[in-house]
Amino acid sequence: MNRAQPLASARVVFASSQDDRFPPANTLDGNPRTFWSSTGLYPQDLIFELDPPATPAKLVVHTAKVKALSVAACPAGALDAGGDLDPFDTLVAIDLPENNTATAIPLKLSRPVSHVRFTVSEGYSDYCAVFSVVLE
Amino acid sequence: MTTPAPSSRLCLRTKMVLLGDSGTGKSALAQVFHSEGASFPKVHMLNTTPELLVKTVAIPDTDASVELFVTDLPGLEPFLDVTKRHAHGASAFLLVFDSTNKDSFSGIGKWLKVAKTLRESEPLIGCLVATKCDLTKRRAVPAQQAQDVARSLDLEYFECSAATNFEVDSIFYYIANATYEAYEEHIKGLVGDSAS
Repeated sequence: MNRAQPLASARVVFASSQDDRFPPANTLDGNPRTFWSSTGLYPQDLIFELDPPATPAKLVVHTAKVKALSVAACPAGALDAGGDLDPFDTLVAIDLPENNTATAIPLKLSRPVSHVRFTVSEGYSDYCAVFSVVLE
Repeated sequence: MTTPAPSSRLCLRTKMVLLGDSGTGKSALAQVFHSEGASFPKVHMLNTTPELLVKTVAIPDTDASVELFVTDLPGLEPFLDVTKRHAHGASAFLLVFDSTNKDSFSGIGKWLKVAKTLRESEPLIGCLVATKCDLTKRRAVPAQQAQDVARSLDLEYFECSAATNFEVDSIFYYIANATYEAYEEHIKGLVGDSAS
């Protein structure tokens, strides 16, 4: 399998903000001009489902006005097991410079994950936006 | 204007704080707005902790609504630390003074300083609010003077009375509208950037 290929099986299953003009699906449509925008307050979350579960090596995000973000993942099968209240394991937390550009976030995953959660904990403004998320 | 359409295409959220000396009527203002005039606290209950009241306001002629997280903060000096901490993250504020109390009006300088420390980057949406305007015989701060001060501080000015529910809604609708406009500006900026 060519690792540099984006995973075609990802879709957004949860977004903490809603503006129907800029839906969360815009982050996965491959169009660098479309975006999803937060609508106030932090933290903001986007949860992507990987079906079938996969082991992405990195997450490449193109954002605007994001100051601090973190990425968490839910191991495949953890949700069905029904034990943990929060099955997400935080993988990485980073700060971005004010001028957000495309950021590659390496993910050190040892086993397949069914969901990846992208959280913006702080922004440079009341609102932030995500243009694209690519899981490779 | 009170209940938003269930199919709102846009739900904005903003945190706003009420700042001002103790006894100026901040809690009364928040509670009258939140209960749509049904509940007015006749007895002064001293606030020692922040109170959060959430209410959604629809923006007229749009499909948008703004969920206002109204944070009512204590005004007494010993609680200033608590107040500052809980005001963090707000994007709008109301500077409240009692129109029948001159001291509460001169005290707004201190509260304006607190408001300015909330964040350095973008300017906040702010209003100067005169309360208890139904007590005309006890009026101590002339409207013109307050208006001039508001203009010099670049704040919107409102006169209201929580007791008679006079002009209370206008203040919060102003904050909601300003929030909506700020959001649309943010969107314009993003669309402009991506088009270039």
